[in-house]
Amino acid sequence: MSMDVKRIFISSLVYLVIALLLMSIMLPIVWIVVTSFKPESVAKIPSVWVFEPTLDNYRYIASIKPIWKPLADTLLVATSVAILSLAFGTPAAYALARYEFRGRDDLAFWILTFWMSPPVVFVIPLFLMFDRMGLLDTYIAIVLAHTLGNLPFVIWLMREYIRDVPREVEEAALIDGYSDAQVFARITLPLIKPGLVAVGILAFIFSWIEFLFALVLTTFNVRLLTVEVSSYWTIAGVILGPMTAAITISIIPATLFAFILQKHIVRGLTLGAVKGE
Amino acid sequence: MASVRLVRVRKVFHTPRGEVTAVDDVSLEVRDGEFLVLLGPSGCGKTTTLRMIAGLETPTRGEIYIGDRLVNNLHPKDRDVAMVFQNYALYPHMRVRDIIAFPLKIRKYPREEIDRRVREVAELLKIEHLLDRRPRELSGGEQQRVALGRAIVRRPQVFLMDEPLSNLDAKLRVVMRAELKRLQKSLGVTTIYVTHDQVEAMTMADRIAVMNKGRVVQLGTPRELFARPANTFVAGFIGSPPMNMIECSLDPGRGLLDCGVLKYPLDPNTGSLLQSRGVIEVILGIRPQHVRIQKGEVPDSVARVPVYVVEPMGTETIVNFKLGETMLKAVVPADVEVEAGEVWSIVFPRERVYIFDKKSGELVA
Ligand SMILES: Nc1ncnc2c1ncn2[C@@H]1O[C@H](COP(=O)(O)OP(=O)(O)OP(=O)(O)O)[C@@H](O)[C@H]1O
Ligand SMILES: [Mg+2]
Repeated sequence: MSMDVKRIFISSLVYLVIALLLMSIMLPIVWIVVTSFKPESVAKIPSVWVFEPTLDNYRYIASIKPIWKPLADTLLVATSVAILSLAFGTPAAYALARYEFRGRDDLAFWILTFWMSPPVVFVIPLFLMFDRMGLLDTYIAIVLAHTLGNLPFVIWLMREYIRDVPREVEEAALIDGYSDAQVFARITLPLIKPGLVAVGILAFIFSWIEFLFALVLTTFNVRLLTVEVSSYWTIAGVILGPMTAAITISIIPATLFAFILQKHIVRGLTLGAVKGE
Repeated sequence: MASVRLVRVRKVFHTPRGEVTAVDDVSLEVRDGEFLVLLGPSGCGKTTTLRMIAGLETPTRGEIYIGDRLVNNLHPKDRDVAMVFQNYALYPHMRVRDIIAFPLKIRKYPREEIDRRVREVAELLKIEHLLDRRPRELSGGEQQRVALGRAIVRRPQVFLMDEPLSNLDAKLRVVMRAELKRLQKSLGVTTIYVTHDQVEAMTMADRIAVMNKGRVVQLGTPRELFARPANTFVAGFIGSPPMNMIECSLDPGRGLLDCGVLKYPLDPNTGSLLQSRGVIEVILGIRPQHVRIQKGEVPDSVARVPVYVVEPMGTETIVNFKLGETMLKAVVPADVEVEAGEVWSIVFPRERVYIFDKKSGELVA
């Protein structure tokens, strides 16, 4: 085999593997989107790919069982969670990155272990606490719970971004006349902006797709999309058409975010490997 | 403007691999308006000393005064010092113009004054054409000049400069050396300047503090350090080419230093001084510029040996002799004709010879 043929062979093989991987990820999504346009008669038959598309399912979630409140609630909660996660997580990360104290690295790792433990461990205590405080089914409860769940990875990731800012740059500003707080706000924060964006989006998405806390801590006053979607499984069976329409609507914002800020997210996931400039 | 005083300052870093004593019991007084150079090899604690004066590092022990004020617990912003960092530390998200103006803006200088000063500084440092760039669009030398600009745009109590010329090309470095010295004298700002380049230290300093392993081993004017190095470390560090150092042992019977091939007759006073101190093993030091060589036989020569290699430098010539293990260098005028292999007499003028205790390294005579 000549070099060229060999190279073409190898690269087609690589593309084939990538295509298979992509298909395994995309197929459920494609199926959901396709199903959401199917008429009721064929909705539950996956093998039917040819049909007269209809907007019935979307009409259903627009008026019969409106998706507007869950959509608005989820947007509000996820946005609040992203902002609060950064507001609490970034200063904590700064302290863990910049101040020398005994057991610092152990503390940082301990915080991360919360992210590795199963959420179900926390949901019952949180339920009891919010119940006692009369906060069940409120925005405050679910926003706090999601923020709490996000903080470990927010702190961990932001710490990596902060470490990428040379300490001397901050020190130069101290000597030039800034206080510690001013250095953080006007030197460090602008320099870790890509990190703030990437981590903020991740926090948003994690809140958007979270189900367990939402199921336990909210009901009707606050209605999140994940819970709303699951409610299409009724005693009369799954109302598949409208359900897939609701899912289609609910994956749009996160997907859009992921596309628009793909660059930042990739950088966020490579951590310290990429310098922040 | 102010003096800077360090009293028995010590800095110990705790690392996972144990304790590192970066600065060890340094006492130092920098006079008001003085240009003091901290000179020493890599890792001797120069940067750490500077950082403690700036307030970026807290001394483990000892006191630091700026003027009459004890500053140990004073925040860097309240010390009124300006610093040039070894690695520049420019603000990556700002343009050069704003970086230089930064300390003035914080101090709320009027707009016109800021503009004027930035222009002056940019002109002095020859970076006018770079004012609208960002740090990552600059070469190392350009970044270094911007860092220098950010420091000298102010009139602080003290300038702290950590190898501010190390990344400039040789020509620009010579120019900047002179400009910086002139600027410092005209502003009269007390300056502590770190370098490991002895030429820079000699040409710029009012006084030099030579550091080694966290300690100040000698403090004095460039002349003093050159003429009377307190120990072999300073002797070897200052002067170019470095001082010849030859290991010898005292032969009290014959009243001379036995250095293998080379025999150096002592004057009786020095001989008895060494004996009274019990110093037998010594290091004989003589600067290459002070070694005299002659083609013929001379009565007071210390050795007659063949020339090993000749290095013409243009204005002068370095002649190398091999004495056992050590190389002896002599600097002679360029018009002296020397060929490798020829046998020459070597003469050490008595008043140019330094004798150090080999064990302690201290100057004895
Ligand atoms: N933050 C730190 N933690 C641990 N050790 C340190 C720290 N800073 C400096 N040191 C150590 O202290 C010693 C002195 O360092 P310093 O940076 O002051 O040297 P220097 O004279 O400036 O050297 P150079 O000419 O290479 O810049 C070195 O051994 C260094 O490894
Ligand atoms: Mg240094």
